Amino acid sequence: MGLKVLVVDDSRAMRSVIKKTLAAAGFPVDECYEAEHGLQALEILDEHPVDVVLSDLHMPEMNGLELLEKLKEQNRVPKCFILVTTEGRKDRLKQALGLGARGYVSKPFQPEGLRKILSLFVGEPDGKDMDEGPEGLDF
Amino acid sequence: MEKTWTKALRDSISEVFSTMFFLVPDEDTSLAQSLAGNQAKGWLEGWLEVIQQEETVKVWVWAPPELVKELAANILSLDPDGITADDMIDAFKEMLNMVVGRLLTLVDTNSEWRMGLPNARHLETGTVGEATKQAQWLLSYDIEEKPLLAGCWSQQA
Repeated sequence: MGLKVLVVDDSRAMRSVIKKTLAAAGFPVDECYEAEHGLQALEILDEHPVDVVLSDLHMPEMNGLELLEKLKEQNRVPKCFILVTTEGRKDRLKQALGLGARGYVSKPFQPEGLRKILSLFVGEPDGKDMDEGPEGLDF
Repeated sequence: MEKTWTKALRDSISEVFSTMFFLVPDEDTSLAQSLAGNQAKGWLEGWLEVIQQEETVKVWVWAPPELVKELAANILSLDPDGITADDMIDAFKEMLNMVVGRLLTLVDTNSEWRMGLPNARHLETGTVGEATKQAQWLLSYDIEEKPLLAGCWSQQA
């Protein structure tokens, strides 16, 4: 069975890059939803539970940290919540990890960087090790 | 500060353009001056503020529509003819967002700066020189025979 993925980024271009990277890496994606900010992401998650969230931090309306806070409050942070962000501040990234994010990819990124981190949590694209992986990333 | 930020901006422009847009910017220090008298109508202007306690730095980027269309086409993997005005603004803002994010990673070793959201607009009037005079210092690039100008403005409260 393939993955259900939610990509949260206010840039259509970046959402497109992330979706293409997932496809090019060979991850089996059944559904890929898109949201422009945290509020939209919450609405989508109300209707469609997902396996993976790939989210920006800096967004209008509701940013990535606020989205994580809300999901943690409701005890429904998806198993694999990865940040794809320009944020370099370690305190903000640690805060995100504390709220349930499993790791981050810094923009600009090479497709390989996104593939690697996602593989840690959902397994390699060939389907092996789907439930194995570390509990978080060490900054 | 200017020297450190200039180098960081130069490095981040180079990395973002090559990694995400598959373009190699060639720095051309005479370009800003030679373009100063050209009409800026249709050019895109982007800016993003970063703040640290009482200091604000605004990072600016300017480019003609031909270059921005190419950026959008490259990142969206679409034909340039299929690129809309919204796509151009979106790609330009995301480019600026990544450039400034990378710049801060290079200069902000103590995690003191807060980054705002990117802004962009099409210029309606004036010359390139009038638009870019807002920056206290400028970098200029030739990217496949199209110009890109970038600069910073800083202010202590």
